[in-house]
Amino acid sequence: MEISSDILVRALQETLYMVSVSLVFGGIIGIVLGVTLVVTRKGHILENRYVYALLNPIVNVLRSIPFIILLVAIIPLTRLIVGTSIGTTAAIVPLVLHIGPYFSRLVENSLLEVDEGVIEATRAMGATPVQLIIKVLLPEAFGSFVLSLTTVTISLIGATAMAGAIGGGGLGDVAITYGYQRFDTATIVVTVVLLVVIVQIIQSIGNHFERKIRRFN
Amino acid sequence: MIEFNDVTKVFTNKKQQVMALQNIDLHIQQGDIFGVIGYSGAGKSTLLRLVNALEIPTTGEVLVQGKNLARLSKKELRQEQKKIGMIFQHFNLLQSRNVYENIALPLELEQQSKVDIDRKVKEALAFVNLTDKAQHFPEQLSGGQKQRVGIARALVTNPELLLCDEATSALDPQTTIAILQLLKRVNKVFGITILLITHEMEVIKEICNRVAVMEEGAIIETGQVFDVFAQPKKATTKQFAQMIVRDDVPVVIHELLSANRYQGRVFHFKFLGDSTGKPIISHIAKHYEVDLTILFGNIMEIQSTFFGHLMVEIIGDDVEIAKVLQFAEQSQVNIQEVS
Repeated sequence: MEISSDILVRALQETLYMVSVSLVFGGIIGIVLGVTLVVTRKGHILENRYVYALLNPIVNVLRSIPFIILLVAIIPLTRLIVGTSIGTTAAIVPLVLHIGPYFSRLVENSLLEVDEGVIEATRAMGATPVQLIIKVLLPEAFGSFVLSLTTVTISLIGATAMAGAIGGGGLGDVAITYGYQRFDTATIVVTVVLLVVIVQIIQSIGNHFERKIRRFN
Repeated sequence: MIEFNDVTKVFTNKKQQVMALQNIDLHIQQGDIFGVIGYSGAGKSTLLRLVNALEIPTTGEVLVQGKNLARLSKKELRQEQKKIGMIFQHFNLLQSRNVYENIALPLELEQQSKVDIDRKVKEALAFVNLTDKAQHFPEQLSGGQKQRVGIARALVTNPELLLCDEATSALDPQTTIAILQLLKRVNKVFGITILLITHEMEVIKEICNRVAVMEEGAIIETGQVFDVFAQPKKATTKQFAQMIVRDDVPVVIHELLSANRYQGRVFHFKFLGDSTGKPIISHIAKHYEVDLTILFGNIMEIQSTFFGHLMVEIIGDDVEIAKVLQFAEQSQVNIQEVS
């Protein structure tokens, strides 16, 4: 292996940085979008044809653009938001745009699974729409959110590998530039093993929490 | 308490309109336990949801304590909804909250203080006898216990009215009786008016004082439970009445009759209310030249009124039997000859 452990450690830090920051912003966007997509549906508590008809295709379009294309396509937007279009921080903008809509679909599915009877019971109590969302919809879907969040985190790790294209760094970038382009198989193996281990850990943590939350339901 | 004035409800689907309720006129008095019975699809559920404005009438008006909820602002409506408790067939408890937290939910929505919430939830838990289950989750409870949590949750805000949506339909017969007794206590102890919908005659018989029978979105009969089911007029009402008032002539009596196995003539005596308590049969035996054989019979109670029927074979000559019939009629017994 031709690379020093310093490079690996830095790459690992970059990956974790990109994943965690994108997860925070993507998670917020995903929940807000997902909740909006559900409550503005026909027959739901805040039915709004226009909002739904606007958001639904936006989510679909963002979901259908391959990440490597999204990465370069939104460079002007990235520059506007973080002031630069290259580097680790710059990679976060497309990552958020990639993962937010994806997470919103998962959130939407979880929320639609909440028992309609429970929603009706809460409406009958005279709850405001905001109370219904915060006290009933989100808590009832929480167990399923944790699993979705796990899935999203793992796809984020996959997406960060492509961030190398705009100088984002990270483990995937190391595998490509040092391993693939310099024919250093050992580096590829090491980075891949590291990625596999990280994914395993995240999946186990997610499953653990999900079980804990759902123990009685 | 609740008034339906010429209420119609139409659901509009993509291409078709469904008339869920038509020309409903109904008055429910303070303190009533009012039952609405009907087969599924009769419109009971829609009727119930009009009361707390989960549905809005297409035409006509529903008044609760004189207020038309459909006309209120959203804020005023929510205020009124808090005075109406509701329980459901499938309980509709939050899986993410334990029993205590489920009951606390309506109070949290009103932003009451923790101290008040704690006191009220504990009172409600004690009333439904579930104090020891406060920290359990709904998944760990039986159906009857879940419904008791539902009742506690509905009562914790001190409502004036309780709506019951097939509240016992998912429960076994024994648990049904226990829940009905609990509802009766709710009515007696707190003076809460109860409006319930059901397809189970047992529920009506057990706790309701007044009833409405629904069919195809309309109310076909309404009145005191005893009056409606002792002398049902419409076919559907008769079917429901048959579930509790078994006054049909047993098939075997018809068979024996057509085989000429009786010496005398067979009559069907129906006793209603007062006549049930009178010594009519012994009077006939003592004062008329006839012999009596009681072939079959039963007596039941609806809303503390007795209702009986007897299959009696009368042996004697026709003149004497005519006198018996005359006497029975004077005593307000309904008599029909079985042939």
